[in-house]
Amino acid sequence: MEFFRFSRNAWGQTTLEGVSFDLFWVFLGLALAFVVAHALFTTMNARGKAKR
Amino acid sequence: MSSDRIERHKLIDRAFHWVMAACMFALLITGLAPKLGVDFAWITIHWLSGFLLVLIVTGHTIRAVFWQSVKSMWFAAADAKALAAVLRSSDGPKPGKYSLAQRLMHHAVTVFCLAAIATGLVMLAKIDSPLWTRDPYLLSAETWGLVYVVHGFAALTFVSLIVLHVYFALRPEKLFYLRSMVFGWISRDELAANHNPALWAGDK
Ligand code: HEM
Ligand code: HEM
Repeated sequence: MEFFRFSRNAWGQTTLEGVSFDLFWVFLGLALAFVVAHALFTTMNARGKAKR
Repeated sequence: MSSDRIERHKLIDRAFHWVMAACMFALLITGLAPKLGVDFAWITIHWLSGFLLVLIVTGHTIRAVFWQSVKSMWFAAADAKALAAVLRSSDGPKPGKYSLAQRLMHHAVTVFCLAAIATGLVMLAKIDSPLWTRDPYLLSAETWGLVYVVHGFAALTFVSLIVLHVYFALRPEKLFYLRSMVFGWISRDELAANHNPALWAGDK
């Protein structure tokens, strides 16, 4: 996976163009993973407390 | 406001929050969708919502400094205890107006918003509008690269921040904050259960 975007000119020199937007899916995925983990953890925790 | 209702957010602050949210969604969709393969005439909507964001953020900052309380958003010694309590997963001390998590969200939004604004204003030199003509040679190619990295990174960070922010806003135990962001008030019981009334007992 690339972190940055580069352009290359006729002489083979590269120039930084910005972040790689493939990372969009990483930022979205990590946030959604946290949400799912947090929701599961709090529900299970609440059930555990209710039983005790 | 009757005595069972505690004022949390004034109308002008609620309006600020929702206009900012609308700007942010417009900026994210117009900024990112074309990069993900959904191309359309995005640039005018993008910089116009950027301008609106700059205007309201300026207004909000002036209001926060001169009319509201910067202290209510800033860190305090009690935060160390609050953090320690989170690590032990026990209940920490009750906060004043904003919990530690709410203040961290606000600071993250502040930092990345200012980064996106500062770089976005410079990037206006890349486009033509009725008000100015473009000057892509304003900065060297390397510097432009860095400006785009910061702008793009801020945008990606907002994707994560907004997912988390909306999730917590919709959680059942936090829905009363959502009500307060729509109608302005929380109840006396909600205040007692979640805040330390010695530090904050409603806005005046
Ligand atoms: C938090 C708010 C913002 C987000 C999420 C955002 C997002 C983005 C993204 C993802 C791009 C594409 C960048 C690239 O090609 O590498 C972009 C481009 C751009 N943004 Fe923003 N932006 C924001 C705020 C602003 C503001 C405040 C302005 C100016 C008032 C602005 C002006 C521009 C301009 C002029 C471009 C296009 C430059 C070009 O043609 O290459 N943006 N924005
Ligand atoms: C559908 C979208 C959104 C919902 C449901 C929502 C909901 C809320 C609620 C309920 C609060 C009040 C918390 C309190 O009373 O203390 C709040 C505060 C706040 N919102 Fe949003 N919001 C949304 C979008 C956004 C966006 C896009 C941004 C900017 C990136 C944003 C930035 C903030 C900030 C900085 C605060 C103050 C800190 C905090 O309490 O977390 N919100 N939001």
